[in-house]
Amino acid sequence: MNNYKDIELIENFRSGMLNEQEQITFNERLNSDSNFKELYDDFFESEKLLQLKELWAVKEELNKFDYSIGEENGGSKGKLWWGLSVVALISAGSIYFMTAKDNKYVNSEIIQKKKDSEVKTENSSKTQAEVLFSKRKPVLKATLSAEKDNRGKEIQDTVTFYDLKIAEEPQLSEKIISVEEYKCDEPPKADVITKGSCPDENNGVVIIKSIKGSYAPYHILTDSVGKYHNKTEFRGLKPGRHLFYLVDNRECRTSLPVIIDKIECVKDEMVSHKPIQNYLIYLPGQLWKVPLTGKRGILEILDQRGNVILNQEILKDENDEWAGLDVYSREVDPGVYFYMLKEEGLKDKTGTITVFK
Amino acid sequence: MPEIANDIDIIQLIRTDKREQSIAILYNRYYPKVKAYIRSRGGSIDDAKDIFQDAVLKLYLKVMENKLNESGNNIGGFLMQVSQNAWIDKVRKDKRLNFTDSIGDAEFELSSNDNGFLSILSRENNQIIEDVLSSIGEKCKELLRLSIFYSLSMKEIAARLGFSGEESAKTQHYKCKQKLINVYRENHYLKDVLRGGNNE
Repeated sequence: MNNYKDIELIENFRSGMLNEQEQITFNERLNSDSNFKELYDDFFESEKLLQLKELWAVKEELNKFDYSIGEENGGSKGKLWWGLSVVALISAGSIYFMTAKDNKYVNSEIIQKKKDSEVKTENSSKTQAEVLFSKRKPVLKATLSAEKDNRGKEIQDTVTFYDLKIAEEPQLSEKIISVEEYKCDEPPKADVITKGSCPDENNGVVIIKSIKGSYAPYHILTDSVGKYHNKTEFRGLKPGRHLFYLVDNRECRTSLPVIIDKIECVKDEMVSHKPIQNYLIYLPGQLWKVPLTGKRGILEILDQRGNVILNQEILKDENDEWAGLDVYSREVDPGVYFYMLKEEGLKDKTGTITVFK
Repeated sequence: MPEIANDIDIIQLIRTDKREQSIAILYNRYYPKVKAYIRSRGGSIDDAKDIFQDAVLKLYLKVMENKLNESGNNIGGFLMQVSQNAWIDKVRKDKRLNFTDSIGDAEFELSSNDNGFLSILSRENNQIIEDVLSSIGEKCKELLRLSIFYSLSMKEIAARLGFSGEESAKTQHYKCKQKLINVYRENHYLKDVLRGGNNE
C-alpha cells in the first residue's frame, strides 16, 4: 500500500510547512480517519529504528576509547588512549602502531588459521598468516606476521591495535599487524515455525528448520549470553516475545525474533479414561450405549485378532447404541471386543465390550 | 587536528554527521571531568565509562530530536548534569549511600523517557534492526538517516548520494519512508519493543 501523498503531508506537517487552515484540516483528519492516524503513528515510530541504529553506531565509536586514562600504573594505557584518540580523529580504518608489550590479551581460541605465506624481498623475508579468534564473541580477524632480515634477525617490532582482545601473546616470530572484526557477509538463514501457548500453560513451541548458508556446524543461542544449544526445537515457551540466535561456526549470527501467541485451547473434558471393562450385552435385544461426550464421533470396534468389525460415524441420539452387529449387520460371535471412540477436541476413549449369547 | 572553538561547532559536527570527530572531541574534552566526578565519589572506571557513554548518547538523542538549543545550552553542562543524575540514580539503586543530595536547578530538560528508549539499545536489538532495515536497501537507509536526523538539505543529500537533483532526492525520500513504514509494520517484535520501551 503506497501513501506517498500522505507521507508528504505528514512530512510537511512536521516541518511546519502547513498553513493555519491546512493544519486544522490535518488535525481533523487525524481525529476522524483511523488509517491516517495509524500512518501518522507508524511514520514517527518507524524512525526510531533508524535512531536506535544511529545511537548504536555512536556507542560503538565510544567503545574505541580507553576509559582508564590517567589511572595509576596506566602509563602504557595512557599511551594507548592517546594513540586511539588520534586514530579516531584521523579516519576509520587508520592504522595505529604500538609495541606488543602494550597489548592486553585475554583467553580466547583460534578457530581458523589460514596457510602461512612468505614474501621474500632483497633484504628480508616476511611470513604472514591470517587467523580468526573467537571465544563466543564476534570473531576477530588478525593478520600475524614476522619479518626477518637475511641474517634471520627480526626487524619488525610494531603491531597494529584495533580494540583487540585475543588469546595468546604472539610468539616472537609472530606479530599482529592488523586486526579487524570479522565481517559476516553471509549470515546463516533458517525458517522458524511457532506454535502458540495456551494461557497459563507455557507450552509454546519454536522449531528452527531449513538452516542453510554460511559455515556449519550451527548452534542456537537462546539469549545473548546463554547456552549454545544443538537442538532446534524448543518447547515449554510462555506467550510473548522470545529471541533466538542462529550462530554459525564463525560466530556469524542471525537473530530470530519470535512471538509466541496466546491461543485459546480446548480443554479436555474431565472424563474417565479407564477402560470400560466387562460390559455385558445379552443378545438379542440388549444394546450397548456408546459413551459419546459430544454430538458426534467415530467408533471403531475390533475383535481379539485385530480385525475391524465396525467403523462408523456415531451421532448422539441417532445411532449411539450398538446392538452387537458388524459392518454387514451380522451378529458378532460371543467374546471380548475392543473399541476406540474418537471425538474432535477430546482424547480418544478406549475399552472392551464382552458379548454373551 | 583543527582546534574546535566551541560547543556550537561540536553540535554542528554532530548535525552534519561527523560522528568520529565529534565523539573524539567529546571524549577528550569532557570524559576527564566526568571521570573525576565519579571517581571522587567512589565510582569505578567502569562506572565512569558507562555513565559518560550514556550521557553522550543522550546528547546525541537531543541533537537528533532537535531539542538541544545551539545557543542556549552548553555541552559540558549538559554532560555533567546527566552524569551526576545518573550517578545519584545508580547510588540510590545500589543502596550504597543514603542520598539526600540533589542536583541544583535543572538547567536542562532531561526526560526519563530517554532512559527507557536507551534501554532498548543492545547488540541484539541492533542486529534485529539491521536485519529489518537491510530490506529497504543501503541507499534508502542512508537517505533517511541523513534527512531525518541531520540538518543536511535535500540538495546536499542529493549531491552526497548521487541523485540527479533535489526533487529526485525528495521523491526518493518519500518512497524510502514508505518502505521503512512497511517493514516496521511487518515486524511485530520491534513494534512491541519500541512501544514497550524496554528490552526483555
